[in-house]
Amino acid sequence: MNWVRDRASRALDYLWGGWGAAASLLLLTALWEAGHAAYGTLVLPSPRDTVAALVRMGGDGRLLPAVVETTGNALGGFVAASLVGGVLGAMAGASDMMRRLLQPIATLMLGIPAIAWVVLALLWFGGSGLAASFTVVVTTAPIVFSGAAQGVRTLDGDLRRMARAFRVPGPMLVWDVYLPHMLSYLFPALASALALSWKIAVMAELLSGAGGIGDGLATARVQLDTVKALAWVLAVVGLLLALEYLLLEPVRRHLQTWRREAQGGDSAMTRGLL
Amino acid sequence: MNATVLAYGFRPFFLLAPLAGAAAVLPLPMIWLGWGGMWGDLSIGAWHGHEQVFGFLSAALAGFLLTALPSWTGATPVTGRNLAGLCLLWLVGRIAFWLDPLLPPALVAAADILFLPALLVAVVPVLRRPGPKPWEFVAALAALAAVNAVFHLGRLGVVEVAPERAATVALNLFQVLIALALGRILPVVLRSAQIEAGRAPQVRLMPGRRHLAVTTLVLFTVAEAVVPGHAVTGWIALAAACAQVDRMRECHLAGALRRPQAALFYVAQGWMALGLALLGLSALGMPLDPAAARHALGLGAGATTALTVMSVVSLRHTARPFPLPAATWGPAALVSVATALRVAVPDLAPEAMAMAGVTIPMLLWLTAFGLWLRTFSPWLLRPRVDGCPG
Amino acid sequence: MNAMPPAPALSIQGLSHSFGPQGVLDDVTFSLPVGRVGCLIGPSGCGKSTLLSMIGGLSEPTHGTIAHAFRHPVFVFQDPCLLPWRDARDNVAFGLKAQGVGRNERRCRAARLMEVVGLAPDDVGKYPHELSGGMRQRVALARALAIEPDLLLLDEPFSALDLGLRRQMQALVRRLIDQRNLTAVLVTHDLAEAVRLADCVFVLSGKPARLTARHDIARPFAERDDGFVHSEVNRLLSDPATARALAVEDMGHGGGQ
Repeated sequence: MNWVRDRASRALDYLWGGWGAAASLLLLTALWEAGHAAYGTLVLPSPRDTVAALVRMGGDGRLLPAVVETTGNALGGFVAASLVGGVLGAMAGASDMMRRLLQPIATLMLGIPAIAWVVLALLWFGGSGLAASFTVVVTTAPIVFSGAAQGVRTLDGDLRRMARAFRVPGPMLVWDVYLPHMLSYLFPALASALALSWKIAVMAELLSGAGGIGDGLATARVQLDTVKALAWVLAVVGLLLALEYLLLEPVRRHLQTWRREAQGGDSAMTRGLL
Repeated sequence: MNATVLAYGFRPFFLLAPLAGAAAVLPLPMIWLGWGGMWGDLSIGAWHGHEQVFGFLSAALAGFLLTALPSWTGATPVTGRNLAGLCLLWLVGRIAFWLDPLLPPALVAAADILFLPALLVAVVPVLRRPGPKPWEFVAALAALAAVNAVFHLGRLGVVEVAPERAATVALNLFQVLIALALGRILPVVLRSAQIEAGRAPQVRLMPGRRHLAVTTLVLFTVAEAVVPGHAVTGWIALAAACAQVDRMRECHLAGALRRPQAALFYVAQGWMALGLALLGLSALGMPLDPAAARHALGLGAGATTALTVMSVVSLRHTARPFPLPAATWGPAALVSVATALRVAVPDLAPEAMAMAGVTIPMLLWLTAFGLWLRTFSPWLLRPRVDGCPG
Repeated sequence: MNAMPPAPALSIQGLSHSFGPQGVLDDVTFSLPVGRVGCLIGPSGCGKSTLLSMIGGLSEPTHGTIAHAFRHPVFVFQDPCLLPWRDARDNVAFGLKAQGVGRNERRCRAARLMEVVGLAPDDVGKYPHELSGGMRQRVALARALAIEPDLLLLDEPFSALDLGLRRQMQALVRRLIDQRNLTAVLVTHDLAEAVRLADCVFVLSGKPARLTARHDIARPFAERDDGFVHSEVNRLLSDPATARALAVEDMGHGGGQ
């Protein structure tokens, strides 16, 4: 019972935090509206016109396919990057030789601007969704790599010894000992990689013209349609905010329950509405 | 006036505030009785707004500041002859406004304009005390005095500002003052509420939350003063509404909301958020009555806070024990019903405005302050229970 | 029959060990009967913990043999080594999970054991960082007992605790050993602790370390009061080999007890 109430009050607490976020975003909207009032629709369309344009695009059936396409490109690249970066990172964390071998390559990859990758990807894959996915993989994999490497490298030797003393089987060793520790390093890396993958996907689509939100943006640019361009931006931003607050942040909080008191701060406030 | 009633600032002003509040609604039936919508050369709306803000709410504010600021800072409170002088200045303004149709506007302005600056002079010495200085209250009070001056200058045609607009800015300033005062009051009140509810007090408020609430309110006040009704103002109003709701989480402590001292402030914040949201939506083009929204701010947030603060201060400073009596939460409940009617009827059932939107809320309002005075006026007029001075 | 000494359950023969060129243990031989508490004592870094981990099968000696019939040896370390991301109950159930015991049963058994080691029902859902040092060590002990061990390997499990807590935990551990008829090997550098808990004290010293003395303490645990511990410590120190081995430690600990 207590447990359920604790969970419920924490969920309420989390949802209530949305009001603070809304206040911040609404103030930004006010600034946007002021910019519109000062510079006119051609430079900066009003927030309400932009939302109306977004709704209209949704009604025309242009919004959803583009969002699905971009999401597919971004997620496909992200999953591949997580696998490649995670596995290589874990190897680099576990073996000194692998770290010597892979770390400089990861550093190099991180240093190459994403836009350079887009150009190369277009030359290699042409104007298809594959170019976007590829760019996402090569730009986000090094981030995941670093997180995974650090997570494995910092594993507590005492815990490993304890697990060995209890004759813990391999899968359980990974699941109960290695993963929870690694996640505290890996999750922030995965979160930033996921957010980045959307932005990269849109950029690659914009240059390749192979559909998706980026393509929509490119079309709006050609037509000098600021309202539509801004509406597409709003769509990306909405996706990112939804991703952050509906997926990443709740997961982050769930993973961190075991640190909840140590973090101090808000815990006394989470006891909830009775 | 006897000596007891001048022993501390809250005593005379908490007696006068309900009287002013009651008086400020009396001419309202003239509008729907068809006796004309004017009180002298002022619209009844502007007259009513000015009296509620600069009569009722200002008296409550004066009582609060003259009591709370000395007790926070250890400054010498204003009592006796000086306190009587302040009351007199306030009263002169009220009388002048009542007789407004008979007097030249310049004379009314001269009579009404003096009270707030005098109050400012009376509380400024607290800034010279050592320790944290409550400059934010002094600054807000100074702004309020300036806005009252603008009200009269606008009416006299010296500046190009409609008096109604000055009254709305003053009402917004009161929202800022409420948010500021809650920052000082809530920690104490939440603690006492949790103890009354039989819980271990665990009040740890995050300053960021209340600072955001106050800052957005200040922005809204400035925006309404500069570009009233503009879409920018609308978005800021919505942001301020969200920040107030965000801040309401301060009261989400085990047991606290079951006690009136916390629950009433929670309700007041709720009204404030609703009023701001309605104002914001109406500025963004939704067909909502801004005057109704302002009643959520003045009647809902303002009067509920005033009643609760007046009750808490009166109990504490006459050394009477908690819990808050029915004479606090009963009137506050009536005020909330009145607010609900006054806010909802113009938008939902405009044809019922005369009865359900004005008359019933007015009667509830009068009943509420009658009930409050019946219990609290003897306490305000008699010495402290423990025999200490003040 | 009764006069016969019980069969040795743990027997170590001519054990030597070295890390590279560095000899750690040299020709150590001893045995311990079932149901007894043996104590390895010696200066810090003399190889006591290495010997213990070889008894538990975590590492292999360079020479010599370790023979025992125990099927479930279990360690309790100086650091409780709890998983920070599991609550107390799941930490206790950790060993059971490794054995493949189902979720409900292991939680049930874990909760029961937490009571046995003196943890309150409220502590069940707490995470390690919310527990005090003594409570954490109790969780570690419950985790060790959960897998129903027959051999308890205690690697200075009390030395991080303050004095009052240490005495409580010592009594608890010895009581559990007697109740469950466990065999235990305790590693310590505190002679008073050895005298209080052990039936046989093995003194290790030198570099590489050799077994330099062996003492039996016959009195039952329940009758070992402070006076007995004090006089017994003095008796052991009257043996020159023991006194030499513990000379450095003695200044720090023997007098204070």
